[in-house]
Amino acid sequence: MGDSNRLTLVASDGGKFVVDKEVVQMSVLLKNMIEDLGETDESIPIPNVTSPVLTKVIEFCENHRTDAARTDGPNVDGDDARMRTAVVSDWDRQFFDVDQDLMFEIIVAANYLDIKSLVDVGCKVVADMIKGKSPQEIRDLFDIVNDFSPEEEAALRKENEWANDR
Amino acid sequence: MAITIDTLPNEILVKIFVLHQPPRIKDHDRGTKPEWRDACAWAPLMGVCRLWRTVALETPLLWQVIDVGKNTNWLELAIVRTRDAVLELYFHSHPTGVEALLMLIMPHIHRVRKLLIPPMSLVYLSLLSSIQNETFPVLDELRLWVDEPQEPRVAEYVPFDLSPRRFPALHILHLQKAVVPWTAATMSRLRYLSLNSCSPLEPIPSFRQFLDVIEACTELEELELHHFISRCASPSLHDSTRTIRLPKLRELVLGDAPDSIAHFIANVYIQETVTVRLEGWPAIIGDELQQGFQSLLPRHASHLPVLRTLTEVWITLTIEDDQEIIGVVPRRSLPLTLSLSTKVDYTGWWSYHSTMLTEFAILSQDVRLQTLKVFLEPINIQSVQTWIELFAAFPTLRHLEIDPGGDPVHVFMALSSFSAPTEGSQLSRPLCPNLRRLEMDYLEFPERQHRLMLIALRKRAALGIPKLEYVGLRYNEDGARKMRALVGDISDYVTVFDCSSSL
Repeated sequence: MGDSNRLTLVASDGGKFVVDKEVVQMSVLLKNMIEDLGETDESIPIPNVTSPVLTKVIEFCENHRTDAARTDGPNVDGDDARMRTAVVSDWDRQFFDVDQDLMFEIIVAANYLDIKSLVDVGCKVVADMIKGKSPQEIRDLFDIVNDFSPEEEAALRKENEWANDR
Repeated sequence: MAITIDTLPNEILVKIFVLHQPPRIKDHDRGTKPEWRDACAWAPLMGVCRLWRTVALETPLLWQVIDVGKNTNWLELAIVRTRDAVLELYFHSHPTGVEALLMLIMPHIHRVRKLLIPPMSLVYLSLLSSIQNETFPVLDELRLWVDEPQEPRVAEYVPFDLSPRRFPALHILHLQKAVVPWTAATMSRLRYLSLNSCSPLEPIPSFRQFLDVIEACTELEELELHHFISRCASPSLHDSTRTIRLPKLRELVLGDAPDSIAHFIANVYIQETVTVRLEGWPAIIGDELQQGFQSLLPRHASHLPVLRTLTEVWITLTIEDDQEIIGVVPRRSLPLTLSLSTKVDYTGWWSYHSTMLTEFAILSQDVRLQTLKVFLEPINIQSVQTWIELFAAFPTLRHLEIDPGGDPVHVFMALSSFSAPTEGSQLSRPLCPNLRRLEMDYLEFPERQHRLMLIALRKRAALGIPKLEYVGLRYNEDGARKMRALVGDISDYVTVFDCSSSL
């Protein structure tokens, strides 16, 4: 019989991670699975998340385990306000000091696992990366192709003028 | 396959766009006047690629916060692209443009959640007539800032009928220089209320009626009343005090005549978790200043328990700025501020500084203060008795800082004195027996000073008081060198004697 306070997560590439249930419960998806499974020694497969990404996700949850109550607590202004006001600590910034592929993989994994605080922080880090940059600079930063037609670009320019001339 | 930004799920992309905007948390803290927030800072992101544009166009959330300026194009676009989502309208246009803008919004009034109207003078208030009879079913926040008050005709003065029938969802109300219907029906559902130089709608409520409404406001989390209490009738001699509790209150700011503030505190129990700022604006120089900070509080300050929790206090008594007492509690940011405004036309505040220190000492009896920082010109404290009365109030004091120190002779003399016998004790006691750290800055150096300091230190030692751990004296000009040369070795009385020049 294993430790009832810990469980094993299995990444898509077969990597196994033994973690505290308390930490894992920052993920709404896993929290619900644990409640459904009850006391069990069974491993939980995470089919969409590779070992390197799962390592980072667990690292984040370990570091933020004491925030869990706050994250799940009532928010008088609702999700809308929370979404607009993600706070990024120095630790969080260092955590996301990784290559772009891994950064986006962490955000997508957090979204899949429904870890709101990790999604918020990841999106805020990306938002800060593009702050103050022109569309072309953003394309260059993320290797995005400009697929607008000339007509669409003209319409965009007009809307931008309206946005800047309110 | 590697994940790139253009393969992120749309909901993630939306979140990145939203977080690209300036945060809008705690809007209600920014005063009444709407501020330009650049709510569509995300708009250039639509020009990155077709996917990003599509996502933006399909996300009403992005468009719902609208800074409304002189140009209506963006407003019209946003109204369409928000579809049925709620709208938050922050007007920054000139008041003369408001009427036309409001006409655009009229068909969508049912989904306006926040309405911040641009600062306008009274003459423009009539431009709001188009919405004065409308119902706002989801309006959560209303701000109106009226400039340049003139002698009003009351009917023109009342901008809105704020009844729950028209504003059933109103929770945040900020008004400046407007007439307010002061009724429980209007106010009792509010969570944030800020009234700045507003007047109650006639008939002017009695003080008892004013309190009745406060008592009904059980949902209030933040309350800010500037120049409002005194515009209600003063309490009559027949009014008995009561104990009103506002269980959800977190922040209280009162700015008014000191006696109006004192009447409020006498009747409303402010839990010690509330951050309190009391700003007294004396109408005339006179009795109010004779009582110093005590004029802001009722005779018994039991309704303000935060006063008893303070461990650190900064007293700022200056010639030009407001006279302030700021209370500090560990792990809380400045829970109590008492302030007397110097905006009245009087430059002789300094002559009341002794009184203010003495009255603060009376006010703070039983406060177990550990740190006291006094910022004033000690030359304004003419009597050593003032320092004795101040120090006698805080036997638990461990850290005393006076800045600028000027001539510190009176402070040294007080520190070697005894408190007067009190009612409970016939014995005099040495002052500040727990003091471990003394700091004074910008000191002058009269010749007798070092002798008086030595006398004070020897006297304290003779009384068996433990020696000071740190004395930091910082002098103007050449004072530090003279002091070091004259004072000699004082290691029997002070562990670290730091005597240097002021920066």
